[in-house]
Amino acid sequence: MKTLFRDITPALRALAALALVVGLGCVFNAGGSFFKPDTHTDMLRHISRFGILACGMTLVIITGGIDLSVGSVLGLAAVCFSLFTMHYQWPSWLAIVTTLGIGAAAGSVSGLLTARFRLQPFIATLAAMVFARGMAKAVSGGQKISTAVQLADGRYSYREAPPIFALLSGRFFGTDIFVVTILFVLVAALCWVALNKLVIGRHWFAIGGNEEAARLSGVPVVSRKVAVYVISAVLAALAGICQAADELQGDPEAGAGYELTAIAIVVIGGSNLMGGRGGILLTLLGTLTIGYVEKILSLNAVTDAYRLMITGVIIVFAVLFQGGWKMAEFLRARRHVVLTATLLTLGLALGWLAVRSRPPGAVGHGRIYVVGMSQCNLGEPWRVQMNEDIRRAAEKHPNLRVIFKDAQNDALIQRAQIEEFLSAQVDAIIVSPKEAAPLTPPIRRAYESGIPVIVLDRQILGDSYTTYISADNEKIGEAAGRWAAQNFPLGTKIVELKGLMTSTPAQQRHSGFRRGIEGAGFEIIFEADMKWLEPNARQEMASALARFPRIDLVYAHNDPGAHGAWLAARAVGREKEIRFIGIDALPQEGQVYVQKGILAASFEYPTGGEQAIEAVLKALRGESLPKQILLPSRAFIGKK
Amino acid sequence: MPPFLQARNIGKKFGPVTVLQEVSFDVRRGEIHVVVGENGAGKSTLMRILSGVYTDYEGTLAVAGETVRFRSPLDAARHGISMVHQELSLVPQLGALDNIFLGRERGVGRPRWLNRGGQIERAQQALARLGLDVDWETPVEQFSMAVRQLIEIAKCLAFDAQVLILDEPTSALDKTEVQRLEELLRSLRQDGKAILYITHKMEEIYRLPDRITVLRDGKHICTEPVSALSETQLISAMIGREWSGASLRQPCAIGPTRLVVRDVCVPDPLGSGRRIVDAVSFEVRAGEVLGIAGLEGSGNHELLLGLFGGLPGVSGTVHVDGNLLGEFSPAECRRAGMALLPNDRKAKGLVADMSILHNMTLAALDAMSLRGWIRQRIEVREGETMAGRLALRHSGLHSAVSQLSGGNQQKVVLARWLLSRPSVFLLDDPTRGVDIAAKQEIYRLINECTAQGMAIVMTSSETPELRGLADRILVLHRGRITGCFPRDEATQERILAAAMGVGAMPSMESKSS
Repeated sequence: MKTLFRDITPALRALAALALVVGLGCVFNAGGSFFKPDTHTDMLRHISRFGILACGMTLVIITGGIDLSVGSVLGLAAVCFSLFTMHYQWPSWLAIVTTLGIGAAAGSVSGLLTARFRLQPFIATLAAMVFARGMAKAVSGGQKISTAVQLADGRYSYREAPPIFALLSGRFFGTDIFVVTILFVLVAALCWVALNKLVIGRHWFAIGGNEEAARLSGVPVVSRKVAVYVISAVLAALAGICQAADELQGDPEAGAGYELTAIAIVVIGGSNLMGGRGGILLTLLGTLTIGYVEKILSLNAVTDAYRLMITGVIIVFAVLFQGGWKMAEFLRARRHVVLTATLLTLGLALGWLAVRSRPPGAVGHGRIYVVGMSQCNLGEPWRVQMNEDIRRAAEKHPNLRVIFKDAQNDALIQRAQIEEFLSAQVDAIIVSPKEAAPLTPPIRRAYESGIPVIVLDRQILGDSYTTYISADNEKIGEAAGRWAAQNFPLGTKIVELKGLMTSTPAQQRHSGFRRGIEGAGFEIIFEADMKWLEPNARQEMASALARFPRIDLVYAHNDPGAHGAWLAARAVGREKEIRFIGIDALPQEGQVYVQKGILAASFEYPTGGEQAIEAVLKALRGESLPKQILLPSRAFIGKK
Repeated sequence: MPPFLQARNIGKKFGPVTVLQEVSFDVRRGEIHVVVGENGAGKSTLMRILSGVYTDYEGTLAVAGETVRFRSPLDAARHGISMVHQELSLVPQLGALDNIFLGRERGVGRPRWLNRGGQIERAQQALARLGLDVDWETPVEQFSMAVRQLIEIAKCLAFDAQVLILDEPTSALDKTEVQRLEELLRSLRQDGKAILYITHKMEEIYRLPDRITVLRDGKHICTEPVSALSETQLISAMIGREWSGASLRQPCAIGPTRLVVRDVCVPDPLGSGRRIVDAVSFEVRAGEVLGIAGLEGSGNHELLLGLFGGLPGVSGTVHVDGNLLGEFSPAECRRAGMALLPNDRKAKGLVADMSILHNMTLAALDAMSLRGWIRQRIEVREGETMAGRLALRHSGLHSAVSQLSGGNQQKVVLARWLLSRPSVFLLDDPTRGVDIAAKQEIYRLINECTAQGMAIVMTSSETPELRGLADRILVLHRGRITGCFPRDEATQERILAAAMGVGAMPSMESKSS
């Protein structure tokens, strides 16, 4: 075994890039967090899923192709695995084998389309990506498959997850390394063997290097290509199983966008996108590089927008670095180099200006208390308001410093953020969780280590937290229902546009409203889950308008939803004959809609941001707090 | 009338290789002037210099008495010289109008905006001249080769071409289309245009042109009016003195028949519907070298590539060592014991990113692996043995193939197939682009292989080489066998005549003698 890989230089470059990133981490170490061993095992845990995808992607790219479907196959596998284990109660080995088999089937479709029917890999796998995502949603019924089983009365009961879940998401036999990391290393080793020791690997390199020459040398091009896509999809399915184990659920949306990360990893590692050159060692280095970049950005609470821009710039530089530009070529292209550099810098500067968060209060006398705040997403205006309320309340106390982190609606990212807060030993945590199940363990750990945890808006399981602040969605929904009952006649036809029904607030706003309209003789003619989002609400309302010639009242679980419904009605000229009511009543949103007459009423859902800061101060002073704080709510009624 | 276009002492080198040497001739208005020569005589290079494709050359060009040096084909077109290449330079997905004005849209009115009206007007005249009536917007890929060729000619005429250079224009046309083209050329000649024409077909040379220019080995041999040159004189001029010298071939015992080819047809890969190889049959025995001679477009390369499954739609029957070949695919042929050395090692032979060793073993991995696991020690050993046998000059079997010289690269592809131990080896122009020393080694190898009982079928762009190596030579013309000569009857004149379609030769069909 003279050489591990024929050409050492790409590996050295990949190593240099990794070293550079690790060096940056040492510099921007976020108060020493970077040096804690937990940070590294945590980073490995997070990036291992992507590493598994990237191994498959490396093989595909070496043959000169690309596989855009891996993210969707991951989601499909997560859903199927959860279904098989949690709902059908299959033995674990059967569930795993079947799920991997589903992955293989998906891969063979991509492979055949590319190899036999000569579709471009980009197009064939793009189609597979869309199809697999659709299948995931079909199989799951659009809901997350979780340990939460819906009972007859609409409430949810939580079962125990099968032991395989704990096994896959836990650490390896007493060491600190997570099982998923071990799996990643195993997968990488197997792929390395295939590429370097097996005939099929040699054939893959030949196909990527010069497909015609390979064909004319008797290489069975079609079957080799199909094989590589099957392997890529099976690995995606494996990653999906791991993801389901981590999230304790099968989310049909899981894996969205993961294929781009996988491609970025392969590219940064140094494998050539054109095919014929590359290796698993490079991908391993690329995985670690991207893993550390994300971890460093997360530790330093860099806002999402800026994070994306930085990652983009890093990819560009990494690829240029890999290209082995000689000094002479660089000088010849200097006009264009200067132009590109200027544009990138302008972009970064603009982004920084736009996104710069206000200084968290002047350095006051005495100690600064650091509060970590993890928001499940900043896509909803209500949550942006919540962060704003927290910021304003914290500003009044110069010795409070709040670090805001945006979980981008990803439960696993939010979990990592709680872990980071714990590792950094913040003084208090405020969290608005995305999901109960996956976030309960890290929150419990933080709470049990002595950090006060304020949970806002959505509940977690158990009671390992300091206090849970929320408005009473039941009461608000009931108030909305009672107002409707008092102001609308018998036989009113109602459309209900619901928030994400796997979350508690939506369930409560739904059941509260139904209780409020009991006995009023109303008819719910149409209900749909618009997941809190205005565009979805608009689409659902459009369907309702098409189906029903008469609609009297639209009850949306939030104001954006109500507004979306109003827009849909106005598009067909029916907005005057329908009344719209919503919940939230943010000053710049719902209240304005009511004033303008778009909404007949909006029922305030306070964010609790101010109360959260008050609770933090109380906890820091050592005062006791009630386990649950219910916020009061007002109704904003329009003139009629 | 003074010549419109004059070329004086044109010379061109590609690296160390001299392709043209002191070529002088001229082209007059109102004439059809044909340029002939064997493969590699320099015809295409000369035409490309005249039409502005090559800007780096020695010598001078003069148009209407004025010395010029074209900076680009567009520049040449502005001086009235346009070329229609053999492969055509149309963009398949664009329509006729867009193709005609491609790159020259500015010439028609406003610079930034497409001037459709102006374009149509100009193009209309050109196409009417050619008797062509097509829809402007239909993508040209939907038209036949003949129509596409006319669109190319229209492209030249739309910009007032005075000299029209045509490179093998009839290679893709059937008899009626050829007639139509010839009538068109006659009428253009009457308009005072000059037509410069490359062809290999004897019947065309004596039907249409006014004057002939003969090139040989990059030198200008003569320019004469057609009436002054007989066929035999023409062929002698193209060949020059008979090449004499020791035979390259070492005789060896001829064994049983190894390859039987019956009625093989290969359709035109460019989709014109023609047959590039038309019902060719032959047999080859162990220890025998069968040479396939033919000029550009004769189908010799396509025959070898098609037999190996490198082209789609091949029909016919092939038996290797008595076993019927199931399908025309490289994998199947390899299993049957056939090997092919393709004529374009860059595009079809080498995997540039892989090492020398890996390139060598690509076709023989099955024999070197156990259940899919490559036995690397065996691989290295076989590779080293083969490299020694071929006298491969390299700096380590694990270094990149791209660093080798042309000759050594060719040896790597040869090695690949020798490692698979074939019974029949198809060699498509094995010494193309290979230096003298490597050539000798390849000849030695061919002799070794035949001594071991291999049957070899080869083509070559150099007829003397073919004559030196082959025991028998089949000559193809337009896909059909026009001659079959055993070694001692295979004179250069006979081969060239058969290659140009002169059919009055004995033994038209191949026999297995």
